[in-house]
Amino acid sequence: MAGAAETRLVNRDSSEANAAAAGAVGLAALLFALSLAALFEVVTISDPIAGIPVVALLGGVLVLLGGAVVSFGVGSYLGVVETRPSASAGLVAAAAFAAVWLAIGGGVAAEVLNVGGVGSAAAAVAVGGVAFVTAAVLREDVGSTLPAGGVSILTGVAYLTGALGPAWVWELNFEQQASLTAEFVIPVSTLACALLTGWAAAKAYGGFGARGRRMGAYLLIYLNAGSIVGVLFLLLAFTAFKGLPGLFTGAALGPGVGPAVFGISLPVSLPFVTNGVALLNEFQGVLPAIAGTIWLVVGAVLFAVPLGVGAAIFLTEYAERGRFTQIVEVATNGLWSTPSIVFGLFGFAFLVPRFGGNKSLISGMLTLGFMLLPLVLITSREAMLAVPDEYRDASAALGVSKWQTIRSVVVPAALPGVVTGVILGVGRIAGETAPILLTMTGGTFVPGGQTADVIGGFQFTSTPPFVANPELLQATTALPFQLYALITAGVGLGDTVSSPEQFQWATAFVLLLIVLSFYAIGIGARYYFRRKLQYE
Amino acid sequence: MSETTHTTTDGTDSTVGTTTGETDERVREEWRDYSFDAPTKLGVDDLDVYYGDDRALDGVSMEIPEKSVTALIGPSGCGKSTFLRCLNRMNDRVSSARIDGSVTLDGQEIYQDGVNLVELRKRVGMVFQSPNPFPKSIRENVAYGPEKHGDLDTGVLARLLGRSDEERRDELVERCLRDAALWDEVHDRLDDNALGLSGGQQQRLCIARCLSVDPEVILMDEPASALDPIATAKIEDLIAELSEEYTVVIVTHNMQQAARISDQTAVFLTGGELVEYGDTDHVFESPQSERVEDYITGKFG
Amino acid sequence: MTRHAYQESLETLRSDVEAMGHLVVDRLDRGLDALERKDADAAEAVIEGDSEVNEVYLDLESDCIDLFALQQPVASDLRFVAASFKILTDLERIGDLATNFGRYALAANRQRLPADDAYDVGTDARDLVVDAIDAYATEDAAACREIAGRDDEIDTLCHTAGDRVVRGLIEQQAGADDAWSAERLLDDVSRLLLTIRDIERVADHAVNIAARTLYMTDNDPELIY
Repeated sequence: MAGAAETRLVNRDSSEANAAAAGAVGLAALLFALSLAALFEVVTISDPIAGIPVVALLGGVLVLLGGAVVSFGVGSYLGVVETRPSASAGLVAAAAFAAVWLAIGGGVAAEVLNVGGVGSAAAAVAVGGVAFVTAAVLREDVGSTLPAGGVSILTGVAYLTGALGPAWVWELNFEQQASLTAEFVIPVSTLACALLTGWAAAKAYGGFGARGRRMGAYLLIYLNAGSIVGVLFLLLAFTAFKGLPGLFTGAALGPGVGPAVFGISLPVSLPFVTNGVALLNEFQGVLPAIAGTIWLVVGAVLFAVPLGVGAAIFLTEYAERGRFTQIVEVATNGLWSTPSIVFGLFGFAFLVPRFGGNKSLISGMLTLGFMLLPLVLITSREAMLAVPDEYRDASAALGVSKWQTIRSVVVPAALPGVVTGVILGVGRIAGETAPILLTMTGGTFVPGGQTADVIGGFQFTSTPPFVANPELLQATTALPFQLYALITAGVGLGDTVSSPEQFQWATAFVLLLIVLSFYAIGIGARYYFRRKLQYE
Repeated sequence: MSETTHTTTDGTDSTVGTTTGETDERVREEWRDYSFDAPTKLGVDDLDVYYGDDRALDGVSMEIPEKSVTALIGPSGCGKSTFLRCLNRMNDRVSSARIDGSVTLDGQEIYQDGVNLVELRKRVGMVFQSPNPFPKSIRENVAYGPEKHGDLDTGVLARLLGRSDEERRDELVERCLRDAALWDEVHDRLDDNALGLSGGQQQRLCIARCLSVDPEVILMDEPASALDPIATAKIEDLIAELSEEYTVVIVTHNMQQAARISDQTAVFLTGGELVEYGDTDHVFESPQSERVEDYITGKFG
Repeated sequence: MTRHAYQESLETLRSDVEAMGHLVVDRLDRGLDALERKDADAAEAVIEGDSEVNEVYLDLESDCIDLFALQQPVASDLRFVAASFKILTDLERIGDLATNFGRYALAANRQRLPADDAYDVGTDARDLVVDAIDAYATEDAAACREIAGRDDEIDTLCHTAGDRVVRGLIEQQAGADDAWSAERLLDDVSRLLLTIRDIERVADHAVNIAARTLYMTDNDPELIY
């Protein structure tokens, strides 16, 4: 074996080769990020950078990268660099390379060389087979780097020669009118190349063998995690970017400008948030929808949490482990997986008639409460099962009754888990449209004056139950529904809204903000409970 | 100068022959008659315990004198923890456990109908092997028992009505922490979370918590096995002090610990059998049973 | 301080051994005194006091066994208990020798031979015992070595005293006129020689005590031979 006969305790890597490999990995990661950005149209491929078309630049980089990777493999094989490669790159890698080369081979044969169906299939299999053999049979260092570098070089050359350019289109014959445009294909292929070459370069950095495979795996994991975070961030940023103009329509700063709160006029005015939709409004707003969403969440939580926690207490502390608890577990999981429209139908058929036959806020609250219940039950149960038995033993040894133990020791210790369940559940139900469509929502555009005023709506009546709240029995709107209504019935806002699209994005942004603030409240509550339980 | 023969308490020579049935019977007779001056606090008669089909204790009988330290030793799985947990009916919490026989506290049977478990567990307290303080403050830990029993009321309502027992609670907490030799180390941080204490301190906190309900008997299940030697030494000193006021029954797998701290020692061997019971110095210097001798000298077990 | 009770029992053992030492020295004093004054009552008292010494010895021996079995002493504690165990034996032997002096005193009331120098050596030996016990109680290693040195002197003195007794026999034998006084003379001589030998043994036991004490304090078995 080239220079790798004995394993040394201390790694004396040759630093230049290492630096080169590290550089290749970094470049690949950069390319990965760029192509993700291009995919989401944050960056467009047709704009030139410093006078060079982006595609050409990409092509050059890809060729460079591919060449570097191949040189790593060859250098290791020839013993120029000391590595400890295994005998083969493995079946999984071989299969992956085979798949990639199969696609390339078939595509090139079919489109570029215009060979017929069978011929291109044969070409594809042949090319794929060669790649498989290369990766599986040859030693690991060449087996990993040659196919990967080859893909990159080929793609890079295709970009440089203009075979794959910004105007490239591939008509897919089997789909009607479907085509793959360059704006999709170029970022995706760059992504694939970056992934493959990055992986191969990471293996080279680790000197192949077990350590190299570990480096390769690290790279893939980090890229994966990074892209998840990146996509999430992009989503938020995108929504914010599109929604902020709509949010600040008609906003004003200055004394006495805003609405009166407790008799004092606020100096900030944000009509999008404070107004409803009405003919006479100067600026339209979504206040009723905001109020509706908030009340829905509050009502659902108030309904589901006591029931869910109570049921969890029963299941963990009192019920014997047996057939009954298993049935309850299955039923709960089934309930959690039920589609939301089914809940909506349940509410429509069962709850709505019981509250006067009209759609109402309370029907919506209860329907969403039923949706939240299984999750609260599952997570509370897990949290209570996680409370160690030692606490229960210690309490019993002091002669404290079972219920007191549950109240004073088990439930407080399980609270962070319960709160986590509530946070997760709120995130789901705040954005649900189908259930509230069937149980709660009335008109599409609600004037500000009809915002549900639940707190002020409590009245005393002379007949039992002596307390009534007509506000709860009113149909009202919520943000997800509002968004849906805006998208489907765009007109109707009146001339006062200059850009319906901005209004839609602003609604979506406000919904996102509200859900995030529920999260923040929940996380704050969980942090508080955790601090009380833990050593500070 | 002539040599004298050392005699055992009953005056016979301490010659132990082979383990014939006859010798074993004689051993049993002799230690069944083990008598002591102090009154009996806990009496056990022919106790059998089964977990499902497995027998954990086999016809155990003994009497435990008050205000002393009784150690239960034996190899793993010999039933000493099971025995201990029978003394405060903690085995009731195990659904597969079946208990036959009699256990009396101050002459009253505890395995009869109508026994108030709350009262029993107040009088017979327990300290566990791994320290298990609640995830609350030190003060709350010590005051937990009396508060849940309703002897101390420091709730919001009581405070509003001016009937709060906060002073009494703080006195109780101080007294228990002093008795557990922990006051000096934690008196300035009673509101800190108990989980921040070291292992030895946590165990002493558990002892303080046990003392808060004013027990008469303290059961300890290998209380120092999870602790380092210095913490263990502190616990042993504490046990010596406690035995002047309380009856202490301690299970330990560390024979030297039993030798150091106990007044009488009971040796359990595999199968849940009580093989010897007597004054500690006799058991360790001249045991009557050959099996016990083999166990103590390390020939098996 | 942890292991409170254990530390106390070690201290108790030390003071008990010291107390037994004082008891034994007291016996020695009385025995030697009875010898010198040829006082029969004092001699009787010494002989009867032997059982008290034996009881104390048995008690303390049992305490040492208890400490080994129940408290598992190690390091310096172990050397202390082991040394005390052996010192007890030496003290008990000294007690026996004191009883011997009492017996000799009973038989010496009509002694003819002068034995003052023997009694002087006896006092020296007695002082050696006292010093050895003090060295044990104060854990004084230097004193132990010094005691070993003095034993050589006492051996020499005993040898000289023995010689003088034999010379006295030879001188008196010349002037002995009847069989009965010859008989009496022989009694005196053998008794005196035994006394001198016992005095030497007292000194030897004192040196043993010092030797064990040196082992206890400095882990030095030099004097134990």
